[in-house]
Amino acid sequence: MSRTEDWWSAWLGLFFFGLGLLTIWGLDVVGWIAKPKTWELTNLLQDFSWSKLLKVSSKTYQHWHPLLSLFVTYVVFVLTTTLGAYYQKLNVKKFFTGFTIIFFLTWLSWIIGHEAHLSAIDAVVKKHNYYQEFNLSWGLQLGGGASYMLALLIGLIIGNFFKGFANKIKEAAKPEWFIKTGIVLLGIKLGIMTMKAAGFTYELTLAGAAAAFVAYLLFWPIVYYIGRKYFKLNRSSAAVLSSGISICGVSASIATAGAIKAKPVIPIAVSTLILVFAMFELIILPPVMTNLAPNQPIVNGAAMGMTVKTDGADAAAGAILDQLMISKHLKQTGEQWEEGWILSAALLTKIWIDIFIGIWSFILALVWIRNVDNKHEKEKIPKSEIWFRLPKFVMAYMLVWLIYLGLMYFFPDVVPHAKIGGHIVQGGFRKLMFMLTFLSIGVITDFSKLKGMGRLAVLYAIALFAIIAPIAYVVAYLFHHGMLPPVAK
Amino acid sequence: MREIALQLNYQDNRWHAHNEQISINADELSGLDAQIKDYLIKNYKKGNFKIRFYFDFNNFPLWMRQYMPHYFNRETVVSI
Repeated sequence: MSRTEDWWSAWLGLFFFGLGLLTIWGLDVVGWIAKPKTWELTNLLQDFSWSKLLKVSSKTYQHWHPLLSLFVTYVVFVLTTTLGAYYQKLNVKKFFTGFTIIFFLTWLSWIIGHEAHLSAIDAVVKKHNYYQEFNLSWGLQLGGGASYMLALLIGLIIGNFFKGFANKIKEAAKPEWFIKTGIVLLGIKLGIMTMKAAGFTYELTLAGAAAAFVAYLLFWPIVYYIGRKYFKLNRSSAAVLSSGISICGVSASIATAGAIKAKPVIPIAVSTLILVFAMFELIILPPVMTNLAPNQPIVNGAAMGMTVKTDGADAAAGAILDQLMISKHLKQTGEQWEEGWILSAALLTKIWIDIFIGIWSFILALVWIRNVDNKHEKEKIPKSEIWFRLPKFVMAYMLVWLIYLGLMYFFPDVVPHAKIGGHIVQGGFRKLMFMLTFLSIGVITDFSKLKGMGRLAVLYAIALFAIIAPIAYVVAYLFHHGMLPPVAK
Repeated sequence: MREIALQLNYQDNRWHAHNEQISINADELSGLDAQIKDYLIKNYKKGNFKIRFYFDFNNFPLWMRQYMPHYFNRETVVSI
């Protein structure tokens, strides 16, 4: 329970969540975390001050210098993640150095991404219209999406043009660990969302569960059939690729390959393909969906959850979509949707898909032994395999949500106090984990690995863009059309 | 039923299984099963055996391990 990134996402997420809950007893031990502020270049150069770029998260620490806040943020994150790296038997020295570089590059992109020409929207947000306040003559108006895209771009430049440097920091480039921790913390958001709109949240959750069945029972057989019939793949490669494309990416391809006892070279090749394609999906789909269907935010989010593979890329795509759609709607109508609902739609779909991977693999293992590999009639599949493949971070995510629901039903008086810490952890800690993911996922993505993938790459592209994406959109539309995030107050 | 545990690796396009007494390799897992049976016949004459194969996840590249920390464990029953 201390050797894998999956468990460590649960521990780290629950630890930060627990710290946030202390506000119930009046103890704010999380408000020191640094946050970026919207700033403008000319204004900054005229009169430089760190307080124009950074701020602390709560009033308790208002007297702190912003750099002290950033330094404490660094110390807490580097210590907790390095402790995890130690137990996961990673190279601690390399991890520490790598994480430090990734942390500060992340913050650099986060701060630059908050420059007003990139992020400010010409509308009133939380009583401010930074576009007008800074007298901007032009602006990209990307909202928080600018920082995400910048972090991804910096990561991709490192991963593809500075490969020696990328190798030096790769020990700490753990997008799945970071995003799973972020997802656990997003459980707080789901809890708070449930308090605000219980019916909407339950509907979102149930629709996500239904979408999971589509991924397993519709996508998988179609891709498997095409792989076997038209691309002449052997059974193992077709099965591993089908899981990778249809279910949850790299983790599904490893789980399936393990279940059918494929040679490890197959999931390694398929996983490389998935990771590179996930990057294309992450870059292309959010702006395309934002512009094609600006009035269907929840449909777009859910479709994203079914289409984009790997939790990291899905969460990253969901976060960009969330920001782009909120910004576009704000720009067009002056009304601001509340942050996090579109992202949650993307993640809830993916989380349901993740939950069933252990059971799906177990069924595939049975089918393979009895019908494909029937020489092994005396081979047994330990039921513990289901447990090994069950994503543990999902349990932590559910636990966080349930704790919030428990507070809401049994101790409603403490909820306002719990929300103080909850908002800080869900905002500051969770967003930092997402930002670390964006940079890390770029660092480990090497587009040159597509060379030599031939048939597999062609099948992947066809399956993804001609089958999965359109069907996912139709299914998402059936379950979610007309659903809109609440308006931010 | 006696139990035998083996660590399973995949290197140079072959499956390798070993413990302190046994070290075998084959192109396919079924090849390992046949070699285990030969070993048991040679050393034990008769009996029922549960063979547990534990796949060493270090066979996967480091960057992949964060996605899924487990490949497979396998159990077979051999009667001689």
